Amino acid sequence: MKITVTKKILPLGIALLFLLQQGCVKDVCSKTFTYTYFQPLYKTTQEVRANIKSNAPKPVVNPGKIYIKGNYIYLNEIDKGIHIIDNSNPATPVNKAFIDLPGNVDIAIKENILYADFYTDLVAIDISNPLNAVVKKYLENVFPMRYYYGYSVDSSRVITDWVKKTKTDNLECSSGNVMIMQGGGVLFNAMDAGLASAGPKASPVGISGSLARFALVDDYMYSVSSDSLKITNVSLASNPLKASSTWLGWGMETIYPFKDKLFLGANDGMFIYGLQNPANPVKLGTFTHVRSCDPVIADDNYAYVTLHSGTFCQGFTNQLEVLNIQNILSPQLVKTYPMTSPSGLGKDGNLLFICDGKDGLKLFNAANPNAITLIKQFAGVEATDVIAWNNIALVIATDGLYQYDYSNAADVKLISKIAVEK
Amino acid sequence: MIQIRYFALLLVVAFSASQGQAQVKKIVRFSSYNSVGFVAGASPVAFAAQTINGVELNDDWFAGIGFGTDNYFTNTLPLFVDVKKVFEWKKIKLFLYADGGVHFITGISKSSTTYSSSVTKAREYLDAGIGCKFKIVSNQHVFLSLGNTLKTITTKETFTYTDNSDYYLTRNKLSRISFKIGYQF
Repeated sequence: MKITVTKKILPLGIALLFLLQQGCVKDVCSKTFTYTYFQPLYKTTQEVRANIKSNAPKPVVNPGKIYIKGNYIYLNEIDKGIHIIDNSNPATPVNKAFIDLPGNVDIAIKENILYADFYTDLVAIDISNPLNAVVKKYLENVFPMRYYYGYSVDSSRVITDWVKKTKTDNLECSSGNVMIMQGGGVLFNAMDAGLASAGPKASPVGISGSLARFALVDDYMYSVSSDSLKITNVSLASNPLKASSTWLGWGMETIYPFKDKLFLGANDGMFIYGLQNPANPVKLGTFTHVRSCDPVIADDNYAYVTLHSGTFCQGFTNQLEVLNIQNILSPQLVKTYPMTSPSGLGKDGNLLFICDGKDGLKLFNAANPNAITLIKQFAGVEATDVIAWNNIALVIATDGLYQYDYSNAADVKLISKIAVEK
Repeated sequence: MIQIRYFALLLVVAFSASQGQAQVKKIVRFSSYNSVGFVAGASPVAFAAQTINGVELNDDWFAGIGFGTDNYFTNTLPLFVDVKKVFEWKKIKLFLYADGGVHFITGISKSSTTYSSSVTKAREYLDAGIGCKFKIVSNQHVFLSLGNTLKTITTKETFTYTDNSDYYLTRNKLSRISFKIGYQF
């Protein structure tokens, strides 16, 4: 039986008309922007300075640059401080103490004085007894580029930590989609945080990795920012003094001292500065290459440069370049070797270690720069930098600090690892 | 809110369909509604076509699965459940209908640049309205319908420049008038 229009059907029609009327015709656009940012936590400068000393050890979470001095490893915890690791027995390194030093990414050591950046300042710390580190001096505004945009320079407060926050903002649909550096937070510059550590050099100083931005040669400490070379007089180690600053050009990344020269890795080439007058380095030679990230190390005759691509590094080149520097005024390319994503490197004698991104740590025989050959590859170790010294390769990787015994190059062995706490 | 209205209408149709069922002998048969038409809203008018196939009970209610094309704003393919309630008014067969389902993007839904990647997704698809049908021969009709249809499309652009996975999410809720003319058998 069909249903006819009755009192039952009439309300349906009314309901339908109501629904259609309410539905209307319109395109409703809504747009949101969801982003994460880091909000700073502050302490007073007084509080922070009072805590720059050897405190209880902390787990390694976000390792940066490494430095060896004596039986100790000094490992930077990016923007947090410095781990002090007793490496008397490389097979059983012991995390002994932690110097809380906000804003720290670089370190260098001369005699018993550790130099470290403390945001824009340089701090000299006496580590005669590494377990009782004592600040000797603050040298202010040595690294003005370490100022975080978006925060006023306030000498009474120091950023001690960053809290990750997620926020969603409602936007007009007509607004464009652009990268936004949100006020009230900072998106970390991975290059600043990631480039860290340097190689064997002169003077009674420690040993750093190839990604270092600090270099000590005799009475001077040289530090590179993205565009300049800062020179600090450390003739009296405990009393560093500002000496001078030289503009280098944009894109400076690493510094590597070797004898009376400084090798600067920049994203468009390698620059060699002479230290005949240590207070006023003079550019001697240049080797330009495609735009890329490129730490450099050197010996008497050759410089080894790794180029890697990436968002911050730009470019698409991933390779090792070997340069003949016998004529320091005119470095010549000897040969290039393809790599995956090389970053830090270290050399001891004829053994060349290269951290090659996800390909792991690679050990090469570099006796003949024209025919560098792979000896061994340590897959699964996403290494970023390496110090090869005294038959121990100290490797900083994304998941920890590794030590390899390479006394027998044909049988390199992992002897210890300090794991990063996730 | 718009979804609630469509859902309410679906309930109304279902409730209406349930009325009087106990009084009739059940006659179930396959039925197919096939239509072309257009959808009109704030954006330019666009072509639409559907085929809905299901079962009809006693010639006064219908339930089926529909599939079609909807070229409004961006071309998508709706896939939905359809319910119709048929009644007579002065020898004219009228029907209420309500559809609910999803739809699918037919064009490029993913793209990426050096710094970002973008994914467009079709979300819900809803349609409800009223129609009438005219008998051609036994169990064959031509029909017209007028309704209000909604489809939602979202575009998520994620930045790969940082590790933070920042993203923009744009949601377009497109509420339109739908007009269909078709053949039912």
